[in-house]
Amino acid sequence: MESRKEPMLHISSGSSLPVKFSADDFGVFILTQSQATAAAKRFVQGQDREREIGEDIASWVYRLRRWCEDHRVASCVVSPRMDDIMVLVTARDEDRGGSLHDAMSELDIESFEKNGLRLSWLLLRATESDGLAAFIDPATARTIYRADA
Amino acid sequence: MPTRKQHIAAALRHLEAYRHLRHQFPDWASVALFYSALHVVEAAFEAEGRHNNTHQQRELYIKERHRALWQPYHRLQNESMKARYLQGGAFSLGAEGVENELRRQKFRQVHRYVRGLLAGAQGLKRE
Repeated sequence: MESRKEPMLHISSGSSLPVKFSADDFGVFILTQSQATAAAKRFVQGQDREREIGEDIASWVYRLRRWCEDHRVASCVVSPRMDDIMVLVTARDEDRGGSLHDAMSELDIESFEKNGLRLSWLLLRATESDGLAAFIDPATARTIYRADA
Repeated sequence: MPTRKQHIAAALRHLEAYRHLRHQFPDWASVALFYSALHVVEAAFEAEGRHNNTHQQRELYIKERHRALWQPYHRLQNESMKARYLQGGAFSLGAEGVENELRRQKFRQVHRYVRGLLAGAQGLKRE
């Protein structure tokens, strides 16, 4: 194992001694050790949260793709909006009886329970697929699944 | 804030509109049906002391507190959205589909659920 040779600073949350920071684009500023520790802690927590959100989204996308494969889905597109993400599922058929829509609503609830993401789900029947553009922004939309791909 | 009585009156008015529209304009009939369901649901929530001002608030409340209601409510809401926003009038559920799938199934499910909620609320009041 490689041993660490660089000198290490120890900054303690219990100390009120000053720490001098030199930042290229911010000049020089001073914080107490206690303030510096609190700021560093927030930074690490932010990084952890970012990683968690990334993992949640990756696992949700995987689950969504698997769900599409297991159901009569022609395509699935997600598109971010002002305050949520739109999930647009297009059926391979007319979904007579609405069983695909019911399954989609169940997946909606499952996603809500697992990750609390703000998602709006909409199912288009095969003959309604031309109307997709009314709900998504092609510039930001991402195709998660296509049956014919 | 609307009272339960006002929500019920609105629900009945929208249902009446549905009956007038369903044969000739099934797309707009589905819109009337959704809004009838929305007021039915809000009438029940009023009994819980809850008032939702926006669709988003209502959706969140249903998902958090009344999950069994989500499936039928979500279907009614989606059909109503498509009826209004699909480009080129592409809404493809006909009069029969709207009546059989939306009113007889989903709207009734909402109704049944809400009846249960209101009966529960009445029971609590009597106690």
